[in-house]
Amino acid sequence: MKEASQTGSAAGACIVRLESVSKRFGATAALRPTDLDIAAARTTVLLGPSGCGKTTLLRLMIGLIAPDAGRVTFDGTTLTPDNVRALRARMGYVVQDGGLFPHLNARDNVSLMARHLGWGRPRIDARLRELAELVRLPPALLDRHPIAMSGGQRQRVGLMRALMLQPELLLLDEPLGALDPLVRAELQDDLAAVFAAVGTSVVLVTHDLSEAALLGHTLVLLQEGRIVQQGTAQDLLTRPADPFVTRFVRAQRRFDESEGKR
Amino acid sequence: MRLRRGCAVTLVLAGALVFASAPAAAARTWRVGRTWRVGRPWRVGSKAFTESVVLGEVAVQMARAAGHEAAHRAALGGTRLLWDALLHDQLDAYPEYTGTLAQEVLPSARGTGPEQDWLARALAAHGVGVVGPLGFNNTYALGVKRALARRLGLHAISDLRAHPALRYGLSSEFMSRADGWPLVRARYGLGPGDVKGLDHDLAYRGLASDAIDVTDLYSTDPEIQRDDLLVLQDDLGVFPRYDAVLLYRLDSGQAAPEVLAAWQRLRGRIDAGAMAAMNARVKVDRVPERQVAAAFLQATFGLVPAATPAPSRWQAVAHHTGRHLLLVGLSLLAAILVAVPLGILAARWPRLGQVLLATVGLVQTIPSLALLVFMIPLLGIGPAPALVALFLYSLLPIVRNTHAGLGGIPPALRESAAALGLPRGAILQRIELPLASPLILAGIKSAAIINVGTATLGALVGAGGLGEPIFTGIRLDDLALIMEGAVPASALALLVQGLFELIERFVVPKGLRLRND
Repeated sequence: MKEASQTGSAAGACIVRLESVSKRFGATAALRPTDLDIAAARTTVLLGPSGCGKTTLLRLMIGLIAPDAGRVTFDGTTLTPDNVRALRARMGYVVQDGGLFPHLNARDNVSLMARHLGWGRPRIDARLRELAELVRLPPALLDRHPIAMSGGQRQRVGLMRALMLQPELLLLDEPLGALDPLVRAELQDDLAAVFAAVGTSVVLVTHDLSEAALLGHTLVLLQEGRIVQQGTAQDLLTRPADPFVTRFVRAQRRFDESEGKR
Repeated sequence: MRLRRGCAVTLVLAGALVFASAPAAAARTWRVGRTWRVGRPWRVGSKAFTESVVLGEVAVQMARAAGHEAAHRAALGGTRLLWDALLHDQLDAYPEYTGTLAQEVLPSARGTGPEQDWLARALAAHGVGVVGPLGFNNTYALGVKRALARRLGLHAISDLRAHPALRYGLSSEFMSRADGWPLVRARYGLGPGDVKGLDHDLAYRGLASDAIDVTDLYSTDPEIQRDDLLVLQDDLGVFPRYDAVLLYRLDSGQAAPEVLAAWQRLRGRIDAGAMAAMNARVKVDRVPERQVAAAFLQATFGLVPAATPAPSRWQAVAHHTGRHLLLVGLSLLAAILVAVPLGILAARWPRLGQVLLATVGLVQTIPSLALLVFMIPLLGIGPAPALVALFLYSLLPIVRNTHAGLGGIPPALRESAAALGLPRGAILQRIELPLASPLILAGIKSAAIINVGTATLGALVGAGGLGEPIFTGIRLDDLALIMEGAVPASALALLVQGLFELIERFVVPKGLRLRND
């Protein structure tokens, strides 16, 4: 973990690399041939309107889908059907409403994989306490089942589950998409704090520019299965690569402004 | 991937072994049975109607009187079942009718010469011997009130010619059968006269109230005694003969000649009047077959059979319920062990799943009695065919619900599980099966409740259980006896329902039960 963030902070180190990766679903090109490096120990945000291929990109990184062409490497190893399961244990994955298993309480959801790996009870309890504090989840909630928790609480538990094994890469697919605005704002701040505290490599998918600007070191803007621009939020605002970037930024800002006026 | 496929093949093989080993086990018991023949009780079967049960009881008590142990497998299904059971050494003997043998069992054996001779030859070719005829011919006959017969001087069917004004009330079956009324009228030259088609029971009532004068009947119907009727003699020999005989396995007969010797004494000793009287004692007076047979043997041969005390009603209920539970429990357990893995396979490989679901669905469409009869050659009579039939019927609800339960898990959860890096087996065990558990359990529950009902049919193949009092009660028109089986069966179904609600509390994870609230 420590080594990973140190090598990650070395200039140009990358945790995930996509080389000429493409993916079709039937007649639709979800992702056109794409090259992308994900920097280690940084937060990369995949951004764009729905259907632009950002979620496809994320799922390719954790091997939930296999590319039609090209290759995906994680920490120098090419993902194959044979090694993908072992590699997933080094990643954490969070989906929109947490993806918690309804038959397990929060504690068992979070510790599922650790128990499978044979962790002892004291080690699990210690890690749970640590994580609950990190994501600001009241420890009493650990005994609740997902059905008895709020959306924000479920998302915090989902984050704990992804972080349980100290992953080298954390992948989040629209983690705050299903939450109401107030909870969403609060969780955005908490996520930023968690990412900073953990110092791990993060890839986050969102369609929200301000969320991307708040959380991401690097923003990757996609349109129709293609990367349009990659850079900081400032780059997107001040040096748009093409008219689509301008349109996308303007649409989001107009929305923000009108909301501000209300 | 290769490893997973290997697992699947193992499961399929395991399933196939369960199927294959059942007949093999049965075959082993047969072999053991054969070597033990000498000291073993004679197994006498009978068909599921009163006369056959009485004859079976007579044969059993005769064998016992000759010093040989004998057991009565009373009121099994129909002719086919008993014949198969005899050929497959599941029975040593059962009562039969020559007409049935000639028409149904061995129709292709018809030869020249007297029926008795070619039937005996054909039976011997199957390793079966005949004792009889016992003395009565249970065939179609025409009957009139004894008072009317006396007044008009009627003895035989030919005598009816002289009285064209008589009113006939005939059962519709008799009127339409080629060997029934059309043949009788032509051969005896009876005029068109006053002929009405009636229900068989109504015809008896019509005779009693003098609404009709002549009706068709079976020559040993208990009503002959009850209503004081005269059976007119078939003096031209028009009706096919249904002489009662006892069939036995020749090898069993060799091992116990004393039983055969005793049975030979029965030849010609049960005439139609005696048989009708015994049928009436059972059906009209509600006397148990065992006592009726004993009274007959005492009156005819002076035999005093050892009294075997009948079990009390409560003992009988407890015995039948226990057997019933055993049938349901064992078959259900086996079905769970096979059907849940099959459901998992079906969910994992959709194409295999379609084939599997179609196959177990097909099994469900086989009528239960047909399935039971079909299994006699493989498994004999007794609990084995009933257990296998119940097992087969339990597969569909469990396989289908396991398949549906696993298939209904939201993709997001499936993906979250895969993303954790858990191996497939652990995903199945820790996530998929618990999530599918409410549906799987519901499938097992419906299989169990259906089984409680279907297991009553086991009585028809000698498996015992609560079907025994139910079918005997139906045969004897004895409501109390029907209730003795039906009430515990309904109570059992309710109990099973309650039991599964209890099991749900332990098996279905709390998080899923909260959702239902």
